[in-house]
Amino acid sequence: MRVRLVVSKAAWVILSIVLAATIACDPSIRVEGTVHDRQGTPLEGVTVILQSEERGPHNTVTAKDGSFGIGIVGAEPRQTKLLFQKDGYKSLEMPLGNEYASKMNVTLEPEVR
Amino acid sequence: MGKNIQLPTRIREMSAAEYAIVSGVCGDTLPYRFRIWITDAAGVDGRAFTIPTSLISTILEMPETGFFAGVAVGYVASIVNLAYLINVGTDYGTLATSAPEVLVHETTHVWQGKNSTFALSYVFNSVYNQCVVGHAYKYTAGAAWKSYNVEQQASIVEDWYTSGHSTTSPLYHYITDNLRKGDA
Repeated sequence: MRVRLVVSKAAWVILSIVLAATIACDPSIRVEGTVHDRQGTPLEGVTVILQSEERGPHNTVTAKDGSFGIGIVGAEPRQTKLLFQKDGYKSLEMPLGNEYASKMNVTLEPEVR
Repeated sequence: MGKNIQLPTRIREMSAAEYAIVSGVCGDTLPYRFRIWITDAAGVDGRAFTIPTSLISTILEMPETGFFAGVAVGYVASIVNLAYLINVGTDYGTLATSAPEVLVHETTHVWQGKNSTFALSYVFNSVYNQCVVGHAYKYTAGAAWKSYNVEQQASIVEDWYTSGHSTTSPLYHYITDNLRKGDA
């Protein structure tokens, strides 16, 4: 019985370590926000690209109210940036800095032709 | 200082909408929907994690006497791949709409468990690559599927899905040739 108890405690410790390490896994970056023009009008259809140095790009498009939400699992924020692209507007690039969760209010400037 | 680990307070079966998304990615190589459960547990800093039911005893606070039963049940569960818990913290209620990247990434871990001989093997692979090897999620496309660790595989699937899940994507062949064939 004593041996079984020791074994059970060892198993408990091992499982706990495994789980603790597993719990430390899968950090994710999440960015939410809105995109509008210089007058403050929400911009629909802006392509938002989340670009990580270590991974493939993720992308989404802003909704009618200019809102967007985008994320990635397992990337470092310092090595990640957001690109905003829409015809008729200057593309904008924004690094994420150190934040895993961010809210952004983005203004796109009209493209001068 | 990071947020502490959050124990589960809510649990539900994966929704039909969520299952439709991940089935569209993985085809018919996933466990049945009733075998995939979503909880609001979370790791450090609210991070998501996925475990087979064989590890369920480690996220429940149970008396020592119950631990014997927990280990026994868990051991059996790991052989027959009973079920999986996807723990997503605050994304619990809106996983399909606000965090599809998390849904797809974590479900790829379910796929790895389901299509491996031992459901626990992906957990150990993940821990080893994150704690020992480092840069567990970083990958360069073009190598053989099985040369990637479990986090790289989940990242490939996630990146393919969130970049528009195009059939012309350079990642698409992993989806058709490996993922949808259950080639874990």
